[in-house]
Amino acid sequence: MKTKRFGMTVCLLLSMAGRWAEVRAAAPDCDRACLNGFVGRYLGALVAHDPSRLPLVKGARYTENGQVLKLGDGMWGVANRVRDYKLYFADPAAGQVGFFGVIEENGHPQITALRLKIDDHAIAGIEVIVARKEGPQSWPKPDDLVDHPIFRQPLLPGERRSREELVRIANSYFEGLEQSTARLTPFDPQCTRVENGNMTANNPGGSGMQKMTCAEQFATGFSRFITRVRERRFTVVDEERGLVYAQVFFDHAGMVTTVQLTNGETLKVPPPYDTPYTWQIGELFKIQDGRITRIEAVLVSVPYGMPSGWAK
Amino acid sequence: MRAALFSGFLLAAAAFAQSGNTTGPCGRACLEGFVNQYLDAVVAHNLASVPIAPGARFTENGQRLPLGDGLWNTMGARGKYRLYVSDPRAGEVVFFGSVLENGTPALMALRLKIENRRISEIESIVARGTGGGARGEEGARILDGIGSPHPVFLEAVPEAKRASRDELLKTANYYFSGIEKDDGKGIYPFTDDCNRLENGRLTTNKPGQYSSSQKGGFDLTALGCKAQLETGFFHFVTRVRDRRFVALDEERQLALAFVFFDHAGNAQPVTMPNGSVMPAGPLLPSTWEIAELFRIEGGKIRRIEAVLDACPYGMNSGWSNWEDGLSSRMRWAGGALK
Repeated sequence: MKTKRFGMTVCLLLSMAGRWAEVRAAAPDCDRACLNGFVGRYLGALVAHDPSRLPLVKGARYTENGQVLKLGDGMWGVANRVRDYKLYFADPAAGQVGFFGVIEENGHPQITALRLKIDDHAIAGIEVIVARKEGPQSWPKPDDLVDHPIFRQPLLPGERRSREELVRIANSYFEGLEQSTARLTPFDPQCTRVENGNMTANNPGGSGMQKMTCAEQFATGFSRFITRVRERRFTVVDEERGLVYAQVFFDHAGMVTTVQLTNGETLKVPPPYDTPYTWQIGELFKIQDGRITRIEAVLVSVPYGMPSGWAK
Repeated sequence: MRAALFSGFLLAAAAFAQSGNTTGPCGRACLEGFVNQYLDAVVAHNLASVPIAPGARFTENGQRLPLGDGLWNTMGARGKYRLYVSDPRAGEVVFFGSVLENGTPALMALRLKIENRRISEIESIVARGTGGGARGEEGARILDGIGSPHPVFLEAVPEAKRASRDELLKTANYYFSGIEKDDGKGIYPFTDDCNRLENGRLTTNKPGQYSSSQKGGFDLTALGCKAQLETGFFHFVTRVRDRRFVALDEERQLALAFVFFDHAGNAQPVTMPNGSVMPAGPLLPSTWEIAELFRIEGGKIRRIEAVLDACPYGMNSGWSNWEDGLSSRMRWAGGALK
């Protein structure tokens, strides 16, 4: 099984490498400022509840939490303010731009991940993950999100890596989780992770697992109950800043009810992970000198096995 | 390996023997038998013990999964509550019941399509404790406490008093049309004693079931089926869409639909007949995925029972194209009749 999975991963990476080569061949005619400008226009139109303000490619596609909706539906009907927290990442070579922010829906602050695909200076694709604070398993903390300059800082020449290498490293995070090992993933010792505003690794004020570093968490072997990390789509590669944005699903099939940790202890898998349960995730990696130094993610609970609406 | 395959064939053969002939009509007992056989196979985690047609399609909570995934991995036992809706002419059977997943109760709606004595379609909603405000786990406990379905869902109606299939569809659909953007002025064909059970909870003629509905001195669940709609309370249900009627039990005069209630989150407060101002309803986009059962008598709805779960806003059932999925048009989706 592991051989097969490894084989599939290699195939995936090879096919992606082909795509990246194509991406590089195209001359970017919309640079970072231009791409970020599209995000600004999008957010302006959104809070004005007016999609007609957007320059759209014919047939432009919009998804919200994996559902194909008409522009104007979903959060377009209720979003009324964009708060100050804003994190941009751009990929001029691919015409892709991403944004994490807090958008108020009828006054309720929602952590939101946005991805836009820009073709010929028009929006061709819009993918949104909005982590609404509802349901027993949602714990977004929009007020706890703070700016981390590291996501804006360009890498030093010696810290840069190729697109292929950046994607491979980001993918090793998912592979490490799925295979319950720290062996595959190059973490910086200072690596930390924020999920929906919660610091879930390297958190000195946290408890249990949260206190551990990213690598220490992986080394426990805890993640056996994450039975699939699937539909791994790497959509934005910000080469200059060493950022990779991926959209994925973590499936918990529910049949793994205990996990034998590497320290000999047995972890009883808590609810809801003892029933079929899926997280839809927009995950951003900062990769510096070949190591993952920071992770920020937007997560929403979705029906088990749900696709993104973007897979062929 | 060979031994395992061989025992698989034996089990499959036993399964065929259990469901009787492979030809001829599959009546109520036969259809219910398929449900039991299917759920037994899920509990045993043994796909080979149930006759599945090649290319059979399986969805759980709107998601297409490989057979063997989802509830197949976690269901350990059936609960006590069991309600069947059979449509022999369409070869469709729907089941509402409780299940245990790793010891935790959940409520499920299951639809099977039977063709040539094989299961060709499997559609399910599993309402777990994780589904927002749906409280499926609590619903399963309540229904197991009640133990058996309301008698009207089991009662045969004399042939002379039966409505046609088209009339059953039309009457049940009035409920969805009445709920959608409810303005209190629609056609509401309910009997005076009509009641509604949603995930095990009585939501009519029982005061105080929903705290949010008591705001402004207004208690929705104290009212009956008709009176609720006449208040216009459900104005915030902006779409009742993908209304797929999949089974009609002509003998018992039952209609069963899978449907979605969308709340766009932008409805404005409304003034109730008693002068109180009701809040706008949900302030965020949200959707219920629902399996809804109607008992119909004399052209009126007498009882409603539903299994529902929260899902992403605008989600598709997995059985409709995008346009139908977002349309409020009612349609028969149970296939050709025999």
